[in-house]
Amino acid sequence: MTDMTLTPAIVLAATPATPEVNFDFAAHRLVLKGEAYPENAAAFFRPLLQAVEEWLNDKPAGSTPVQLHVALSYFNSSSTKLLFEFFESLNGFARQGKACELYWYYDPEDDISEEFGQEVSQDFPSLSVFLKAELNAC
Amino acid sequence: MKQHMKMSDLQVKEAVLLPLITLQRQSAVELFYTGYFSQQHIVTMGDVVRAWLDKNESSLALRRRLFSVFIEMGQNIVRYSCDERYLGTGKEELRFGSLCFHTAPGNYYLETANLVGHEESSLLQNNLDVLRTMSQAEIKQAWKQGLRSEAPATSKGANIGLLTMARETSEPLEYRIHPLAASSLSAFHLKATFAHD
Repeated sequence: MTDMTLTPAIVLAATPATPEVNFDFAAHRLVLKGEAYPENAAAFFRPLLQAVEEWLNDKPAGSTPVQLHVALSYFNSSSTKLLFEFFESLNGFARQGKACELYWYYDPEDDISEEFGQEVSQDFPSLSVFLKAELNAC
Repeated sequence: MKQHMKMSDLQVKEAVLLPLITLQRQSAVELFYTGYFSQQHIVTMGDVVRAWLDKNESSLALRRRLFSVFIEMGQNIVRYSCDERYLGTGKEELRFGSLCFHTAPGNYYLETANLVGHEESSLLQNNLDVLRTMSQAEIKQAWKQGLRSEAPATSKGANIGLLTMARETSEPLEYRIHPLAASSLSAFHLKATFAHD
C-alpha cells in the first residue's frame, strides 16, 4: 500500500558532535557525513535506523539498490556500535533480496576507520561494501 | 589551629582528586580542567585539543587516537562519575571530574580523576587489570567481539569504551583506585600514554 517514494527525506544539519544526515528515500540514497560523538549515540542513531527499517520493510525485493554513503572523520565507541547495528540491519535486508550498498569513506591515514570498514565488509557478506580511501569524495 | 579545622565532605572529595594527576617536572600542561563536565564542555575542550594537535603533531593517525581517548575519557566522566554533585538540567547531565592533557619530550598524556561508586570501581578494576595483560592483537580481537555483543543494561554508551582507549594508546592504560574513608565512593584515576616522534 505504502508508496515508498513518498517517504519524506530526513535532512539534519551537522552539529559539532553529530553528522549531517541526508536520507533521500526517493533517490535510494542515504548520506551520513561529518563527525559522530554524541553523548547518547543511541538517541541519535536509533530513530534514523528505525526510519530506514520501516522504509525497507515496505520496499519490494529486487528494486533499485539502496546506497548508504558514510564519511565520518571521527566516530566514538558508542557511535561505532550503533553504526555496526545499522550495517547489520542493512545486511539482513540485503539477504532478503533488497540490495543494499555501503560506501565507506575514510582518510587514507586513518587506519582505525579503514579497519572498521574492512571489518564490516568481512562480517556482512550480503551487504555490498565499497571502501573509499578519500574522505572528501562523498 | 588551622590544620585542625575539619574539612567538609565536599572538600575531602575535591582534595582527593587533584593529587592523583601527577605532572612531571618536564611536563607542559596544555589543558587542565576540574569541575563539572557536560557534553558541551567536552566538545569545546575537544576543539582545543585538536587545535593544539593540528599545530604540533603531524601524524593524523596519532591525532585521531589522542582525540578519541580524550572523548572517551570525557564522556566516561559525564556518564559514570558518581557523587552528590551531579547536576541534571533536563537537557543535559553534568558530573564532576578532572581532566588533564599534558606533554613531555617523547610522550603525550591524558589523565582523568573522578569519583566512582563501589560497584563501578570493582568493575573498572577487573576490566583494567585484564586489559593491562593483553597484547595489542588481543585488544583488537576483544574490541571486535565487543562490537558484536549487546551493551550491558547498566551501560549508557558502549561497553567498548575502555577497549577503544586501550587500542589507541602505546602503553597499557594505568589506573589507581583509592577508596574514600567513611564513604562507599572511591577516587578513580586513569592515565593514557601516547609515544610520539
